[in-house]
Amino acid sequence: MKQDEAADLRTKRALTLGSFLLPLLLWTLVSYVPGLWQPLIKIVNPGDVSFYRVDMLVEIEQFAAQKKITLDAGATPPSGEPANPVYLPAPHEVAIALYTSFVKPPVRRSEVWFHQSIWHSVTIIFWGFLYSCLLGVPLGVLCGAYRPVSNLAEPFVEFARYFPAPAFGALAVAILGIHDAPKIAIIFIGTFFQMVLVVANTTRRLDVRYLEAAQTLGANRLRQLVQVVVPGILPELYKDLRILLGWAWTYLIVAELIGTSSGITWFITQQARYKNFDMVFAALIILGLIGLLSDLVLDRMGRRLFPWQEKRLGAR
Amino acid sequence: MARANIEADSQTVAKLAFRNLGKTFTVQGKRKQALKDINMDVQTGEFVAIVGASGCGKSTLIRIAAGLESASEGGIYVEGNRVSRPGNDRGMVFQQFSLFPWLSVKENVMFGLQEQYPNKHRRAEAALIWVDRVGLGEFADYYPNQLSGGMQQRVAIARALAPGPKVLLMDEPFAALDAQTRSRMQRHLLEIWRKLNITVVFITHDLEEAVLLADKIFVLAPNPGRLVATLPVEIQRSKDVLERDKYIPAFAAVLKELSDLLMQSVASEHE
Repeated sequence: MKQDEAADLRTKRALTLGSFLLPLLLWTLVSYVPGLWQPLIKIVNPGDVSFYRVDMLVEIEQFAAQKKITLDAGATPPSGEPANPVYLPAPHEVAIALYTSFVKPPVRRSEVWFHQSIWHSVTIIFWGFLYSCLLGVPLGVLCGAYRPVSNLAEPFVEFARYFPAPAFGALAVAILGIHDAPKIAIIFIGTFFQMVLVVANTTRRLDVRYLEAAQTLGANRLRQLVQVVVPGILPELYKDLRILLGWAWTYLIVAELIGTSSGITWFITQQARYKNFDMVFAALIILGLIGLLSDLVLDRMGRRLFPWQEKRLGAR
Repeated sequence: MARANIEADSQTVAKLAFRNLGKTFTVQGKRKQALKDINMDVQTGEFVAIVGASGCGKSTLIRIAAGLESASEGGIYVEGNRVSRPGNDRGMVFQQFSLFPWLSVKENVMFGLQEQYPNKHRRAEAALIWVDRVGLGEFADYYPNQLSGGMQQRVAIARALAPGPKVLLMDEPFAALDAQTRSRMQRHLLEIWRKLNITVVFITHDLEEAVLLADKIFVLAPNPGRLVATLPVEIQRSKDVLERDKYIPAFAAVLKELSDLLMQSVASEHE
């Protein structure tokens, strides 16, 4: 029994590692194995082709045509090696970019360091999501617990959740200015309406026998709400919020593009403009890591917070 | 003088009385009578069982007594007062374990004591007495999920009894337990019943369980749910273990009588 569990855990760990290693392996193969993909030619020596420059990327057919023309004319043919498009940097280039993105000072004085843009993004998410929770969770719980509240609030919320949050961009800037406030508002709009519905649903799913037991023990409606509904849904609520936090990250990209663009989105668009795609990949990896790590931390914390969920049937 | 009168009254008024009780549900637009004209009395300190085929409305009956559902006709009276809503003058033990999983054993028992003991310290002390009474003193700080089914039901009994209800209502409380645990729980329940002199209404579909435990058995028949027989069980309880010896002829005779009554009640419906 014990051994089986240990073996299961090992298999699980190996598979988890594999789920990261497989894409990395694919990426490595495509980048380093000659002839596997490499649809372009990187010019090493332009020869007598007037418009070729060293390190220029050209299509294979075009390169072949130019080579034939120069050879037919008796001139020096160009030489080059197969290469991948500029938007697919090799793993080692991205690894270097991961390092340089942190140590490279901003190009202009008005710009910020990479870690500062990450931090800015995190604060936007934090405030947007916090406001959303402060209003959305209580409203959701009330909707789930009391039918009249649900009948009053939910139809409008159902309607409003189809407003695409990005559509509020211009409006938010007009009302809240060009700095952080409209960005926080976009995150709020993107998560709030969903949150009300999801939390209301979770509240409704609470087993009615807990409420009945509380009633037979003399609990009035307020006590049922505070002492039964709220603690009863907490673990599920926590899971809901973890999922909704993922949505907040999606809206972050939109939010950071409106007004003065900022944060990690600004960094990514800026680097893409310079064609520093290695930097873009580095930023994407950082985003993924932040998301994955914060979710792992929240998962661990959840188990700590709700110890009663753990089944320990040793005490029979 | 006045006090003597009240005492005299409480002896004449039944602890729990069902008077012309009826319940009609509307299921998909059709009205269905679940209970019809139920009249039953439960006296102070009595242990009564209610048995019946499935669909006879025994669960509805006890839920109305608990105040979780309302009566369509007639009513239920606790010491002469009509039941209209749930309250801790009636303790309820459900078939499905309904302990609050987020509270420890002790905190579960404390839940029903908030009015009696506003002080949290006192409340915990009072709860611990009950946890000890059901023999779970050393598990006071465990969560329900960490306990076996039988232990969970003991906590449920302690939780229901702690506020000092006038009647303990039990809706098939041991149906989800395995046979050995069930028989241990039956003995345990009888001990508590005898020691504290409580009044118990016990719903079961297990006839042997009814004969084993009850002073009096009400037999319900389905469609509509109605009382067809009241069977007093006059077999002696053994002195130390309180439950009846189920291997004596008298026990088998009562069991057969009860079984026949139930068969008739279902058969009459098919005619």
